[in-house]
Amino acid sequence: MDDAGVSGDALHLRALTKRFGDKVAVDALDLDVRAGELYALLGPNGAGKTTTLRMVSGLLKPDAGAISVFGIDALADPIAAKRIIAWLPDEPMLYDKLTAWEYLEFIAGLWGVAAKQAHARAEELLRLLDLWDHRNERCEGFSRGMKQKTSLAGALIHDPKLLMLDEPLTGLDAAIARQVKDLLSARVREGATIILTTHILEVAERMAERIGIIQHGKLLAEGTLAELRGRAGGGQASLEDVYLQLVGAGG
Amino acid sequence: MFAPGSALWLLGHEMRLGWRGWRSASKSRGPGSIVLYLFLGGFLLFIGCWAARGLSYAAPEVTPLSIGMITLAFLVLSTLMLSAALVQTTDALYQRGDLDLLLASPLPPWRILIVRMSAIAINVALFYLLLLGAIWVWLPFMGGGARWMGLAPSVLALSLLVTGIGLFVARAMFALIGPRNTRVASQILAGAVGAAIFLAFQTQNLVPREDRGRVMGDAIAALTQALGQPESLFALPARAALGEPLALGAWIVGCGLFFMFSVWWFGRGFSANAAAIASLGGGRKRADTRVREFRPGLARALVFKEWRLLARDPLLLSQIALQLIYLLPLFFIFARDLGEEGFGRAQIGLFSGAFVLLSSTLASSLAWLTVSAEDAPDLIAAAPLPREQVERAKAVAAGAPIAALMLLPIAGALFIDPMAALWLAGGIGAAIISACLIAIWHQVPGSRRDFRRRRAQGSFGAAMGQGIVLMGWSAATGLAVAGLPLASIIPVLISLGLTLALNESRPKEQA
Repeated sequence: MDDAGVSGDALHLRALTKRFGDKVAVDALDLDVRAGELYALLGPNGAGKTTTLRMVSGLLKPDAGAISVFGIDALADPIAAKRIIAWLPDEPMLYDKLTAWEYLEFIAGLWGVAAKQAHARAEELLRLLDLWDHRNERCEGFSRGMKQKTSLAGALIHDPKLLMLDEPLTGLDAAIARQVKDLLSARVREGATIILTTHILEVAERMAERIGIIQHGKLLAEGTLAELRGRAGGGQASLEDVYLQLVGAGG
Repeated sequence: MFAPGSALWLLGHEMRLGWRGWRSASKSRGPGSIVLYLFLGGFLLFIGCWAARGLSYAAPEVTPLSIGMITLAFLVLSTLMLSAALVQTTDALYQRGDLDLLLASPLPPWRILIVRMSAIAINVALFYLLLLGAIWVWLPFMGGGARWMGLAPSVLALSLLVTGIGLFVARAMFALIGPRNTRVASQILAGAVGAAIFLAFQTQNLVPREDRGRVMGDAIAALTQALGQPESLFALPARAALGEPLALGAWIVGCGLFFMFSVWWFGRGFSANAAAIASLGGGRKRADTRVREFRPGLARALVFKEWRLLARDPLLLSQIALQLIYLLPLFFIFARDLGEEGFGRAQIGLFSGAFVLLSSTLASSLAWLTVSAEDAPDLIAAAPLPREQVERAKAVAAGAPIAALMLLPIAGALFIDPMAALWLAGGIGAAIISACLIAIWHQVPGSRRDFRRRRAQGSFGAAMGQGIVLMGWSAATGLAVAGLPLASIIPVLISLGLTLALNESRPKEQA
């Protein structure tokens, strides 16, 4: 990895490859995400988005390639990389029998956040996400949106520098989706880097500074919305038009 | 085969779902499983033939004793069926999640409900009908056996009656404690009834040998007095089972009518407010406004998380408690022998071995729950922790409560013989550590709901190995406490060797 750890970059992926049997899920993927930006990773189902993020978060071992998170070689020192990463999958990772408060205490314990700091942060996040009144209720009684918000609070409690979210808005009603989007925008303003995958192109169009389109495990195109429009040859084309044109062309 | 949308077509759909649910619990697939089922079926038929032959010699006579025995059997059976019916009613109405789909279809709601309830009645009776069926098919060919043919239809009718009662009870329980708690309570009831039956069959072991005849006589007299009244209405199911045509007809028609009535009663307005019934729950709890301070520490976070999850799952706790109950007869036998033969080293050795076996059984159950049945494995894997540290904490979470529980027998042994207490502590420690290590090395990932099926899903070799290791520690402790420490070297070596072999044979770790 010749340029791993370049200052100002949150994530470098070089020739990242993952196979499941004969199927190549991620195919020598090169990707750079800048520090402090919100990067949207788009692509059809099975394109390799989730597999890529799972490799970055240390849940899957790549078959080849390199991963660098804020200059840390995530394959050589996964523990150090995990300390500054948060991973939020589309299905909330919760314990039904724990209360929201206990869940956050547990996550803080896993990430080694000091108790006092974690307490203050948990209160702030739960208030921000309208979960404060439900803090002592077990997650088993929560709605899908409440579970997603609790899971998001858990992802943020250790103040990660790189937050990766897989379809964070799936199944959320408009009000909760708005809360989540506002929180993510605020985190980016505070300097965090966010990578999110989504099938809701409007979200990527409005929130992301740069967008990457992935198909068959390869990056088809990348850039700002204007740059992608330029590539697609349409001046005022919507992201949907650009996406469909690129993905259609990608086979 | 049946017209789409017809009651029989729907029933076929229900039975297919039931069959697939049962199949998904089983690990074996493909031609091997067919051979296994054929073998089991053949074996069942063989046992059935033998039982039918025995029955053909005994004429089904209506006596206070036969009425009492059959009524008691039906009472026990109906309790087991009731808990199964409650669990299945909750699943069918609230857990499977396909009721909305069916009710949104143009099929009449009453048909959907009656088919679903009939499927429950059949499923509830299926296990017992399979057992009885293996006998029943032989009865016509066994001379006097034909007189016992009322047995299977009586049990089927009983399942209709019990499912009907189950609907009334379910509705009341849904309103009082909510569907989720109804399911848990029903499963606990099933376990408790099973354990009670098991213990009842073991009671004779508690009684000193010379008193057994007298105690059995008293029990039979009490039974015939309470349940053996042939003229009573309560004797109807027993008379039906004994093949009295009139009683059999009345029993089948009565149970069928009651079932239809209960379905009608349950179904009134059901399609309109199924969700409303579900939301009744146990009433809304008062909001808990406490703000508890966070406590620091990774090990504490991991261990307390596991303990909280265990303590808040009454079903799991009851299943673990059942393991204790099933070991009780062993202690009863030892206790009786102690009473009869005094307090010898051999008896203390037996007790010690039993305690080691108990602690290892419990530790292996808890270790499976903490290690393999992790609810959020990705969360743990994404945390900045070495895997070994997490596994160590989980092993502590599983082993510590058992070790604490076992302090009692160790303290007891200390009063009798300090050396015995030392051996016992060592044996318990070794067994708990082995159980936890094997649970870590040979993980069988699954959900907590699969607790009872966990052995069927894992490697047979690892399960066998674990069993031998744990029995080895038990035997070694027993021998050492009994004053044969040299003899205990053999089981110790077997346990240690197998533990090492299980370590070597552990599956290659995933990323």
